[in-house]
Amino acid sequence: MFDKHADSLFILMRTIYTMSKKGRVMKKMFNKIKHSMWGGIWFLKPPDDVSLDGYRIDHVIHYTDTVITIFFGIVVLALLYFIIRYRDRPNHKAVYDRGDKKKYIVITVILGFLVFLSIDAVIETMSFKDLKEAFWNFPKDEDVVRVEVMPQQYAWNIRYAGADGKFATDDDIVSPQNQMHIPVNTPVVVQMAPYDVIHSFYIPNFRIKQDATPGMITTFWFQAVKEGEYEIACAELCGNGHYRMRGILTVESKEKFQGWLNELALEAQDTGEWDDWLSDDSGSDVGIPQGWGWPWNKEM
Amino acid sequence: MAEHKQSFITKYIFSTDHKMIGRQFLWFGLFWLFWGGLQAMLIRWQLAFSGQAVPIVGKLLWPASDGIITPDIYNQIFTMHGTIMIFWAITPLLTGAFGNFCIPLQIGAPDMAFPKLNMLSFWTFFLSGVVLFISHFLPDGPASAGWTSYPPLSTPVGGIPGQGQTLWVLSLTLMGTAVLMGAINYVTTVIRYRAPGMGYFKMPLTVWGMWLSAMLNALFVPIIAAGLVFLLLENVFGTQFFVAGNKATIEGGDPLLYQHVFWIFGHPEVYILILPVWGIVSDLLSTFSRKPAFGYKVTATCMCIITGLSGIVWGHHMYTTGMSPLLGKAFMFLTLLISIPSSIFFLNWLGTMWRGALRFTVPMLFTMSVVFVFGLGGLTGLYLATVTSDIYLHDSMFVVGHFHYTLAASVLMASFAAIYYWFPKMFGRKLNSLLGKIHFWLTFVSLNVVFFNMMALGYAGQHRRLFDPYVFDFIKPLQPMNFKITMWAFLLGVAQVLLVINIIWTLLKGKKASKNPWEAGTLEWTLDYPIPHGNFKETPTVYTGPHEYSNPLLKDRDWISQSEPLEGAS
Amino acid sequence: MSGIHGYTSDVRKDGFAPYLGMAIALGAWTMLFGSVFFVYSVLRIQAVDWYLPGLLEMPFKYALVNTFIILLSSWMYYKAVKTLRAADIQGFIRNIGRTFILGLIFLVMQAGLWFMLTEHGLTVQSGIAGALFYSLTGLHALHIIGGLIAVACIFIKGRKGIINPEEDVSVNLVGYFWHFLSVVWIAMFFVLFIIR
Repeated sequence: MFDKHADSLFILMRTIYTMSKKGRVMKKMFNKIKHSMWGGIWFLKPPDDVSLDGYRIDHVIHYTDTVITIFFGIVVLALLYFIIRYRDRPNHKAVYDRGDKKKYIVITVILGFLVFLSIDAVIETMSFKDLKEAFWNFPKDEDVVRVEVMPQQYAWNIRYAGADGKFATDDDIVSPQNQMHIPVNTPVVVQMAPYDVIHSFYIPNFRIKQDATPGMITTFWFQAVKEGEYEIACAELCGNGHYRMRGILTVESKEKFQGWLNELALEAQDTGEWDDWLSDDSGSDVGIPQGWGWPWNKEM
Repeated sequence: MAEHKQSFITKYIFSTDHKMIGRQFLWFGLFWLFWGGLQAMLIRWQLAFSGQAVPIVGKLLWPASDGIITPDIYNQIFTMHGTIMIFWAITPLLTGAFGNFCIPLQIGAPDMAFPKLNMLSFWTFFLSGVVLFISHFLPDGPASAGWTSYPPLSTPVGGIPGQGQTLWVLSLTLMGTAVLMGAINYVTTVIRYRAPGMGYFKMPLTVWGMWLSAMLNALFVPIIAAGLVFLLLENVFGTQFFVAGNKATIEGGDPLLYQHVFWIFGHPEVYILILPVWGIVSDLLSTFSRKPAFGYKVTATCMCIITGLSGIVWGHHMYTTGMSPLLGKAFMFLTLLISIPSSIFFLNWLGTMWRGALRFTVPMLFTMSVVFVFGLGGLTGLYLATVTSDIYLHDSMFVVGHFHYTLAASVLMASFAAIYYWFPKMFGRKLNSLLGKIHFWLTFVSLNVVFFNMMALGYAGQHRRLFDPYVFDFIKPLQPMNFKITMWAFLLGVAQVLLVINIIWTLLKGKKASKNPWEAGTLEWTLDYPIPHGNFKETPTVYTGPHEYSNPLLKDRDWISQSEPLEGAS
Repeated sequence: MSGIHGYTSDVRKDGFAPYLGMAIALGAWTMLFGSVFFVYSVLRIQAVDWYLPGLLEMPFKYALVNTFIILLSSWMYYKAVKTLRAADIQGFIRNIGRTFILGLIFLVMQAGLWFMLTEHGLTVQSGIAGALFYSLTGLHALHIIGGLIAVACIFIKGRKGIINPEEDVSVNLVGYFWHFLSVVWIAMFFVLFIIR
């Protein structure tokens, strides 16, 4: 009895193996699910994705939507069917079945494999691939914009390296508080260290979120593919003003961005002050703390 | 029955009887559930009617701001809501009340192994509740750094005034001590006090769940206790173990260390809460399907596997902290493995109902709804176990919806199922079933609308813990949805009044219940109400498994008590 | 266990249950002190310099003497259990008394150590090293106070003659806790004074 079932299990496993080895059917199916921009199960839509790699996150979410719908659908349908079919009524008796026969054990094992192969393995593969290719694969080329971000209670401080390309030097350009400008179609690498408590840099349009923890520098990168103004939010509770920790991320053409930087540099030269530049435009009541800016950590 | 005199105090207050302690935990848990629920209503009020004074209670609570919720009040409310619901509402309800009540009765023991320790456990818990309650009335209000209380925000450098955080730490430490005393009792009782014949695989699954969750408690609560000791020193003596960066006056602190310590405990904690649920659901489904629990041993084994896994997956709460890639991948792999034993639960629950004779009593309705809401809650955990999708969804309303599905919906629905199910044995009267059904449908529908839409909000980008989310342009279009959730949440809150009315009315005038109203087979139903101190007149001998329903050997009834031999059954 | 008063079917007497309960409790305490050591070691490994103001090194010899005292105290408890088994109640009371006094000396010497180090400028606020030192030893000292109360209870029970060689459960349980605290102290001694 058991051998027979074990055989069928073996055949199933072998089929899956050969299918995935030959790759055609599986890959086709897989890609169809992965790239079907099926809106998923959520009737509210996330903000427009304007980043190079945000689609990867959307795809993982959509794949998870699909498997969730299938598995949960089976559970709900079975639940409804059993509720109607097996309700207690006259002349209806329950069948005594402890569910410990070998065939049930085989079904349990198959379900385990099915869950592992269709959910765990696929999501993991997708996620690992995305992390390796995008999120943890920092751009190596020279044409990147480097930004240092120091969140504080309750504002975003942003600085650029300036003309010499080095941070923590006299020509660093400090952007007006809560305003971050980046060029379009250029990788942006951000290093972040907070002034006081834990904050989290969250730009929903880019599907990016990264904690800033005191005492350490965290790094992440992203790339915009569309010009416009987007919002930066703090996603980690940081105090009473957590809700109003709002920054504006302006994505503009490379020329415009360079112009903006130059303007800031000139302005700072006029006043002769580099670091205690206080913002009037941002409407923020928070002063910029003194003496921030750290040498760029190249190892990260 | 041997009569013995007890004074009011030894019988109702400093009682060592596990049944009385269970009842005390029940009232204690229900009080805090009410309190935490009110706070949930206030949170929802703020998200729908930002800037408007809270009607009725507002001016009473915050005369300074004319009844309007301010950012610091808002932070205090959601911090207290989370803390209370997790540690003071659902812990006493399931582990405290039904753990105490069911474990000795279901394994045929006269009481817990250490009755005095049991009493001490409740009163320590009570004291912790008093400390937490007092913290609400501090001049600067209670703690407001979130239920996770991440430093440096929860330390003096975080800029939150007052002693709320100190009292939070103190009350949580006391609560941990109480839970620990309970855990020692539960584990020992199950190992040593099972009636003759009650093998481990003859125990009801409820006992399995309580037992495993007690083991997790004994192992992991001390870890948070250590973290709390350090957090207390931060707040009282100004040490800086968890403070770094510009605000640190002492070098060498590490904020991430606290997060690790917290989640090494924190992740097992959610399984501490959900393990009894799985047990209760498995047992109740079997009773009301008139069928043995499908794959009993597999279910018990899967519970053990998850208990083991729960200790090594805490990193998935910290994906966005800048965790090393290798660790992130390892935690993701381990976390996703939990989906396998979890899916087997569903197979077994559905298998139990398959070819059964389902009786739609109130406890059964609540139990079946757990299968539904835990299905949603468990599956949506997949998004958060995956590193990439968690980058987007971390700390969003999606997380809020997800853990409300698993903890609020599943645990609460199972608690309600347990209340309706064991009420006849606890108080001798059966809760009104019509009121119960209305309560069920209102709760079930409104709860799903509220929590599912919370997840949708998170997917649309709204993040957590926002006093006024509409500061952000991308959240402004979500205001109608937030309003809708608030309305349904109010309905959910109002629906609970039915439970209160039902309980009070039943206690006063309810119909007296028979000895075994549900025709269940476990040992507690062999006892007449009121069960005397010491439970069983003669120690029962166990012959059959916990759910031998519809056994073909049975002639004119479809159930058999565990203490009856199958052959002798009429 | 005194059991359930008045009711005829008493809690089944299970001699092993208290030991099992104590084993679980000791497991929990191990997790507590283990986590404290975990926090210590993480902070210690990450520390750039382990600054002990005014101190070239910790008072190693003083702590060594103290370690011997608590070990002696533990040994006295062990002897007390032996004398109890030999039905020598008087010897038992004497040994428990010695355990208590040695424990008290340990506590007083710990307090002396704290004063000594505070004089040298090592305080809770002086740096992460000081804060960790005081929190580890302080947590241990708190448990020693609890242990001393338990030992005192055993002593009083012995004087009252409640304890007899057959009913030595509480004596054994308190003993395990007391030995456990000695072991924790030895670990602390190694971590704080030898490995540093």
